[in-house]
Order: sequence, then C-alpha cells, then structure tokens
Amino acid sequence: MDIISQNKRICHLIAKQLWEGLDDDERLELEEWRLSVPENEVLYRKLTNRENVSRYVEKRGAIDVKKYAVAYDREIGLGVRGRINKLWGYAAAILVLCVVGATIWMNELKNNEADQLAQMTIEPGRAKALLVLDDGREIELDDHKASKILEASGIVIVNDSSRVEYIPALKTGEKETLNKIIVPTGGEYNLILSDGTRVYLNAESVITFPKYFTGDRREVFLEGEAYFHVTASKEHPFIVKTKDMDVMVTGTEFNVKAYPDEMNVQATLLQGAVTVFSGFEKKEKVEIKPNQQAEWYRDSVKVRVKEVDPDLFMAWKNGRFIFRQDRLEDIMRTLARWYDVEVVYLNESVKNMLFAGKLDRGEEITPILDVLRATDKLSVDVKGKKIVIGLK
Amino acid sequence: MDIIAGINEKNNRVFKTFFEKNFSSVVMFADKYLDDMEVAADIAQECFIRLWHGNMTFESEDKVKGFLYTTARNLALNELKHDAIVARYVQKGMLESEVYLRDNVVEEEVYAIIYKAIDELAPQSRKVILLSLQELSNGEIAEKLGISVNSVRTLKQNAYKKLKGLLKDYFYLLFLLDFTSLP
Repeated sequence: MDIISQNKRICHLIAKQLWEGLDDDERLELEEWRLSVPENEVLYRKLTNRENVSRYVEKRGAIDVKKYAVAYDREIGLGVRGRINKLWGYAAAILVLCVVGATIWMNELKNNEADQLAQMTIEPGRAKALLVLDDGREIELDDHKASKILEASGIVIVNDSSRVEYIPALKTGEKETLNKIIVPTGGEYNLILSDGTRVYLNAESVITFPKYFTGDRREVFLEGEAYFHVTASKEHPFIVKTKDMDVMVTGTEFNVKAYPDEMNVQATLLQGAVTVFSGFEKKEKVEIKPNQQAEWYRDSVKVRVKEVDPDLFMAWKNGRFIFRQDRLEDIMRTLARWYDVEVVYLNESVKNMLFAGKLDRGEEITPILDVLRATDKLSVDVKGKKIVIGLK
Repeated sequence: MDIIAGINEKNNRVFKTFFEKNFSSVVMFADKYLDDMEVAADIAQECFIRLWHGNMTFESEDKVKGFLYTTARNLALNELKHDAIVARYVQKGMLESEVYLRDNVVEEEVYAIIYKAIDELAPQSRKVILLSLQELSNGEIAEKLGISVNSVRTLKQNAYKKLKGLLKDYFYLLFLLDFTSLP
C-alpha cells in the first residue's frame, strides 16, 4: 500500500479531531494509535498545536500558485504552445465548416448525424456577453476590438475582457439612456454601473440599465440571475425589477434569481437590508435580513421568507456549484446553463432524486456525469450536446 | 474525465487541474525538509514536470500524490547535500528516516484538509477563525476587526457550523445520495 492510503484513516481522524471532535469509537481508535508507538503521540501533539495550524495556513496562503501554473501549462502544452494549437483548432473548424457547406451544397442535406455529433464537445462556460447600446448597436464583449468602440462612449472594458465598467457622467443633465447586456448559455460577465455598483451576471441572463443614473431611483431590470454589490446611497434607492418581484435596497450585497423557466424567483441577502415587492401589482411588501431569502412561488402566487445559508446561493459567483440535497432536475438545469447542454429524461422519477456536492465551475462536466453513473441507479448517455438520463 | 485515467493518458487539462489542486501541498511538504519556500516551490514544480514526462501508470490518486511526495523528498535531500552546513551539523539520519517522511506526509494531508475547509469560508468568518487560531480572545478579535464581540461570537459559530459541513464531505465521499425519492 502507498504511504498515503496507509495513513489516510489517521489523517482524517486527526483533521476531524481538530475541528469538531470525535465520537467515542473514533476517539478510542485514535487513542490506540497514539499509544502504539511514542512517535505517534509526538506527531499527534505537534499537529493539534494551534500555532502550527495557524503558521501553516499563513505560509500556504502566500504561495503564488498562479505563477508556477503558467510555467507548468507551457510545459504540458497548454500555455503559449496551447494557444497555437487552438488557432489550428479554429482553422480546422473553418475548414470543416467549408467542407460541410460544400457537402450540403452538392448533396442537399445528406444528414450524417454521427459525424456532427463527434465534432461537438461539452465545455464549461466562460466570460462572454453581448452589449446592446441605446442606438441599437450590438457589441461582443469578449472581442478585443470592442474596447475601442466603447471608449468613445465612456464605457471601459477591462483588459481581461471579463468585465465592463461605466464611467460616471462628467456633466450632469445628460438624459437617461438604456443599455442592455445579454449573457448567453455557457457565459458569465461582470458589470460595474456608473454609480460603482458591481453586478455579476450568470449564464442566460439579461440586464437592462441606464448608462448614467439620473433620477431619484436607480432602477435596473433583470431576467435570469445576478449578484449585486450596491454602492450605498440613502437618497437614491436601488431597485432590481424582475417580472414577478422587485427588490429595493439602499446599499448592500444580495443575489437575485429570476429565470423565466423556473417555478420560483429568489432574492437572497448577504448583508444590509432589502425590501421585496411581489404579488398583485407588486404591492405585497416584505423586508428581509441577512441570511434570509424571499422566494416567490409562481404557481401558488405566494411569497415566503426563510432562513438560508447565503453562500449556497452565491457560490456560482465564486466559481463553484454547491448542491445540498437538491433535486436532480434542478441541478441539471443549472449545469445545462453553464455547460450549454440539453438534458433529456427517460423517466420522470429520476428528476426527484436528491444529490449533494461541490463542484468547480472551471472543470469539465464528465466527472459529474461519472458520479451519476456510479450510483448504479442511473443510465447517463452523452450524444453530442445532449445528455440523456434514465433509470437503470 | 476521471482524474486517474486522465493522468495515465496524459490529458493536459486533467494535469492542469491536478496541479492547481495539489501544487501547494507539495511545496509545503518540501519546505519541511528545506525551510525555504522558494526552493521548495522550485522542487515542487520539478516533481510535477517529472510526473508529466514520466511513463508510469497509477492505480489511484493517492499513488500519484505518493509519487509526488517521495520525489519531492528525494530532490530536497539532494538539495541539502549541497548545503555543507546541514551536511555537517544536522542529524542527517533524522531527515532521511522513514518516520520523518511519514510524519511529513500525515502533517501535509491533515493540514491540507483544514486549509481547504477554511479557504471555503466567507472572508469575515475566515478572518475570525484565523485570529482565533492565533489564540486571540473574542474581545481581541473584535477590536482587531472593528466589530462587536457579539458578531465575533456569531461569526465563529457560523464558521464552525460550516466547517462541520465542509469536513463532512471528506468523510463521506463527495456526493451524498438519497434514494428514498425513488419509486
């Protein structure tokens, strides 16, 4: 057995002892180990010394992983060389398109499904969005050329092209013009409004907002999911309008989820205080406090407030998916938005199976599907961009 | 792709992810021998490069990590050979012993679990936990962060509750299943 497997159990027992203590059986097991040879007791004492833990955390936090990762990527052919490969990939894709075009032209849609499926791969989402200006011009925000066009209108794209920033108006009296950002399936994007409010947009989301805020209220309209970090201003309440629910704040951090294809609309609060308006003509008013969530049920036309762990609802913003006893259908809907896939169920009952887990949004979808397969209760087939799930 | 299959098939994306996940642990491990974080990082880098260019196959992720640790240890001991002072005065036997290797592996594996759990906390809770690890009292933490003692207490409670949940994932696999909903 290797050195890690040999010691795994002990490692887990000590780690558990450090944070939450052990139950009686576990404590007995650990004590037996400690007593077996003197070296074990010495090691145990060293590891459970708080000062040691604290020094470790500090030291490890200072490691510049990114710096070394760049060099490593180059070594394994993902870095600079990887980019060239990617270019060849594009060239090949164009060639394929040409060939496909020619074939269609010659044979009139001789459909070869298998070939097309083989070319499709499932990849995690990335920063991409479309900006629609008030004059109707559409600009791809992940395009490098976009920044030049926008600079003239007082809008800045940050060089990594993952976020767009509106510079506050220099002169007052400018009339309010609306801009719109559309984040497609498999995308995410960050926006800084002219008042400094930060908005993180999730996949399949549309936000409409004024280029500069002029009136008493700061109003934006949202469809989909976004996390807001609102710049405080008591005199100018900030309102996120959605189809079924409006969320009003003066300065705070919160998440709003209002997808048209989901049964519920949620506002989850991390800090500050917000007022939620829902119901008939949005006249039903509810105030929520940090760690609370207001949820609007579209089917029963009711709003309900409950205590939640806000981190679960904001994990996406930090590059993670966290599921805690969630329905498979809900999990797959979230994944489909990010990985740009379609999910088909062969049996209705599987939709209600519950899963929990933490996943990195930057990783491929395959390990997740493997876990579903590992249950031995589900069949999971991938056909191009379609995932077919059924009972085994 | 399955991690172990990806590593055996030399899939560069799997390697990238594996590197990001484990690089710090190998650095911390090598540092235990060298007490020099920069040299430790260079050595860790070298270990991952050898993993990529090598032609071994592994049965499990633990075996891959075992390979990285033992390579790091050998490189570190080699490095120390050049260090005349260490060679002359330090008990070389201790550094080269199997017990010392075992102790360092266990320390790294335990602390990596704790580190990753703390790393998942919200920024304010993390600060509170780190300060309390330095044996600061709630009052001292409150003063340092400019918040009330009550908030410190709440943040601490929340953090411990959260850590409990996070550590759970290490004990019972990544995914928990509930088949009661099945017909």
